[in-house]
Amino acid sequence: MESSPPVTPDVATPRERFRSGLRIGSGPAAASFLLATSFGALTQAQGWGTLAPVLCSLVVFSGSAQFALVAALGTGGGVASAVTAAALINSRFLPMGMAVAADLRGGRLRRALEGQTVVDGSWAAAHLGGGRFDRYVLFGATAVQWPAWVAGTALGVVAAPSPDLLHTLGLDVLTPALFVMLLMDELRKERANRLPALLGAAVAAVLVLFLPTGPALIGAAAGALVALVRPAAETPPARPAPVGGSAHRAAEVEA
Amino acid sequence: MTLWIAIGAIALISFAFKAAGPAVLGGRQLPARTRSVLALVAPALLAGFVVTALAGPGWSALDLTLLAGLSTVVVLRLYRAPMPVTLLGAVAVTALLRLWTG
Repeated sequence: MESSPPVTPDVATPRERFRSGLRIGSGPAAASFLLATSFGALTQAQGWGTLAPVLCSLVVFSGSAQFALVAALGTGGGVASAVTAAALINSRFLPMGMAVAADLRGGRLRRALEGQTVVDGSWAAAHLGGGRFDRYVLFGATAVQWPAWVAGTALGVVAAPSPDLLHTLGLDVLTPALFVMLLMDELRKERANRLPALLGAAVAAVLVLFLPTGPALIGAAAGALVALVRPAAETPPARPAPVGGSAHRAAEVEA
Repeated sequence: MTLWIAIGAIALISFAFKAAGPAVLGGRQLPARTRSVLALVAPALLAGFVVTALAGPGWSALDLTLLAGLSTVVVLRLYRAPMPVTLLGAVAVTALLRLWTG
């Protein structure tokens, strides 16, 4: 599948797109690194030992879910409630995976594995507009965030800084700040994005009052259902998607 | 031991959540209506990320210094400030306000 030739002249090669993913991902990676040190530090206060937090970051790789796990186990909630809390938070990956599905390649297993690269920052950064995603940007942005997340955890475990330090320095603003920037980009890209964004914000604001953040985010994603009421014109994505699902068709466009 | 079970379980569940969409929907050509909905998931969910990050569970995490930091992002981006400048501005505003009010 990798052998499919570049189809559009103005779009970079897979390698260049992967590199641009690395570059785009470095901002979220820096934020992840800092966040991960506070995760590592928190686990030390809970007696997780050295190996468990690092392994957890390696295999779970989801900040909000891991913080929920620490918090739930810390309050003596038991495994079941801790896992449920973290699972609910990560349920947002279901709609995110559905959105990106068409732009992944290969058979079911290969797609399922490619889908593992979906994390919040990469997924948003790889969005080309109109529901199309650049999988190489996705891979690149995750390839830089994953090691940063694991290394940050290890540093937090070893150095165990006061969990308040990041808060004092104002560094906890980094992650939501990145989301604000990505959101502004989406709103600039297409007018049609405004209503779903507004609905998503409103639904999340209400749902988070009585639900965990994961289900609240799924509710927010449902803001996209506005497309059923006001169907967008049946048009190709705003920017030509590089090696997309319609690559064969796109190849007919002059290469 | 319970810790390892919890980590293992959460890793498997996350894997399944991320795998489901691509494995099930993948390769198929989805109906136009479905595609037009999926096209709007990104802006809807990004707005949700911002709100939940700001509010936290039950709006318990609402922090006006954080809100000020994020407002800084909006203003700086409207004036087309580059990303590093924007982030530094947000961190500086948040930290200074905390120092001041804290």
